[in-house]
Amino acid sequence: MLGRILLPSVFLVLAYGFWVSNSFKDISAGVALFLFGMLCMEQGFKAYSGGSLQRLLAASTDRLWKSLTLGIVTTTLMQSSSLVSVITISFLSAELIGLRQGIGIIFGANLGTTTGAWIVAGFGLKVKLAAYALPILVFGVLLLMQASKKLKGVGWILVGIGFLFLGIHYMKEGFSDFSGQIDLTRYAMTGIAGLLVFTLVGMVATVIMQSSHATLTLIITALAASQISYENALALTIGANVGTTVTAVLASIGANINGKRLAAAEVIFKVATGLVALFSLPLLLIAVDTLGAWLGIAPDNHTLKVALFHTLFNLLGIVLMLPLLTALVNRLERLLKEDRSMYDKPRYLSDASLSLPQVALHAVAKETRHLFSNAFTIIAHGVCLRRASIVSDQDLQALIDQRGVPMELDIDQQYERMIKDIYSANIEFLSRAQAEAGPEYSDAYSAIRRSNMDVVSAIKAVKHLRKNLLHYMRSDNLHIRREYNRFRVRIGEALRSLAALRDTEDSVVALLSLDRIRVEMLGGENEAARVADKLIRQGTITSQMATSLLNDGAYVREVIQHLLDMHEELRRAELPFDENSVHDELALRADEIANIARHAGEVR
Amino acid sequence: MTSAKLFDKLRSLMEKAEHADNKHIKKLRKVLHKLKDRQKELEQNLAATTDVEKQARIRQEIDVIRLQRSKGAEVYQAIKADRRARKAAKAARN
Repeated sequence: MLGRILLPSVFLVLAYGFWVSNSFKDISAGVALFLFGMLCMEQGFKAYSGGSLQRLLAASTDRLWKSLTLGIVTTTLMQSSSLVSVITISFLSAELIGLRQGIGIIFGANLGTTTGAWIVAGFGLKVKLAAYALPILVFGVLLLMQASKKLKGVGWILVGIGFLFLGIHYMKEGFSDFSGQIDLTRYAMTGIAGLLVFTLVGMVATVIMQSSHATLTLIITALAASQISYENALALTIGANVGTTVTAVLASIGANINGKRLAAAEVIFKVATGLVALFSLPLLLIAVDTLGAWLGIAPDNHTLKVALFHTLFNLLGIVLMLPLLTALVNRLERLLKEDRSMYDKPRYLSDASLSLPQVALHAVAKETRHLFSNAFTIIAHGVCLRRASIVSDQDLQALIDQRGVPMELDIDQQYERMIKDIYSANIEFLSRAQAEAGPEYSDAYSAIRRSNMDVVSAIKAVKHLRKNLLHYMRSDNLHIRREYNRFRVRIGEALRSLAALRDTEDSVVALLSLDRIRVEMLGGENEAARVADKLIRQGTITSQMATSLLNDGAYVREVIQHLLDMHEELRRAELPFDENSVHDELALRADEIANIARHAGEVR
Repeated sequence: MTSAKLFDKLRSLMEKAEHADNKHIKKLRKVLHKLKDRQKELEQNLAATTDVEKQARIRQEIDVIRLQRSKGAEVYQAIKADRRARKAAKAARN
């Protein structure tokens, strides 16, 4: 209900904002481009998950000092702690690194970013990354067009970086009206009030400009021109250091829970470091003077002293926060939990049943049925059929000539929500139960494990099938449309037959009924192959359609085969030890099934 | 071990095997009975429907059940024959 009202309301507010203010339009466009850049980068990094990048990251972050060094070096090279934070968040979202490693990197990034102030104060240089946005986008798009998955991954990363820069650029443009009003000389103040006000000004300026680097440049320039006092410059530096967290917070909006935890760690680090710096400012000033003299910095060279101060208090923050790292990770994991209300959980598994093999077997068999029930919905929706249509008496054959109506479904998301937790729990429970039970239960537990794996394999086959199915079931070519609809009907009928078996109490009779479904499915398969051959011979479908039809026919066979195997394994596991032989004596052999299917095909 | 004890042990083993046999036959008969009922039900449905497609599917299911029943009947006959042979051997020993 809230969602239905919220989205149109946001649209209305945005539309009004775009109408009345160009700055607002630029800022919103900047945020949108920035978030899109994040998504692109995540997509790119996913191409490397399990590959060389993951190995490289794992090797560069397996020790805390390595994570810190990686953060320091990359930020020094990129001259943007925000960018390193954003990339680290996308690493975390793609599960390439863990939260601990991520925090190590951003701690290092906070130290690495202080080199910017040294460069500005020492050489007066300013690295303008935004100027590279468009060339990076061009390179990225070119790489996206390549066939290689790895190159495509690099393409997505470059496009992501390009959009990030573009987003920051638009945000800066949008805020330019406001930033013109940031005249630091107007706020010259002394004492604690000056300290607090200038910290706040530094923070606000960085939030507006989206770059602590830019704020520091402003501070050092103003200090060099004696527009602000040395004391006010230090307070501004502390504020700028805190204000830069806004980029990480913004990036965490589109990230998963680990990304949000990392952004929270970044905020905690910066705020804690800022507070420590404010409270220990006199001590830090003494340290700056002493160290400055040792480094050969002239006592009146305030610009370099600001750079040294920036480095020192970030180093102090790292020294203070590192011993608390484990506690911080634990606390963040406890406080920021994933909203799993949308995720289905196991219902029947309990540790108490592990010591009673028969009870454990019954529990995990029930849980596997639960898993199948969820898979039923995903598979049905995957081939654009409603669950209700399958379990009703509706004649599915009537769908064959119709133009299919696509059903929106994100199979990966549904797998995460309805399958993954239950499947993982089942596999873990089976391993533990098998370790506790006697060898006489070994076959039954193995059968249920295979049964679970069959459910997952069936879903994966539907995922492959769905790509072409969505296209061809709506095709203007009646022949190809009919064949893809036949695929849908075959899967729907298999699901219907298997659902009907649920009411069959006698496991031997249920197992024997699978023979009938096998005959039907083989008949359907033979018929589909015969029609496909005919269509190819007659040229009523293109060669691309023909190859899709043959490949997807194999996926349909895979889906049905896995579903049948899943039921067979599950029913066999539930059979008393002495009843398996009755089924084996009566069950049809593969050649007998093929004979009946062939005979039925000839009669038709 | 005395020969009497040996015979007792052998007898108990034979009884166990016979008990398992009985259980097997009982389950087999139960399943065959259910298959027969299902076949009858399908034959009635076949007579009642005029839809050609449905008729074909029902015939196919009947074919499956018929073959399963015939395999079951063969197993049943084999077990019976084995029993008769065992009984005859036992009678000959006595």
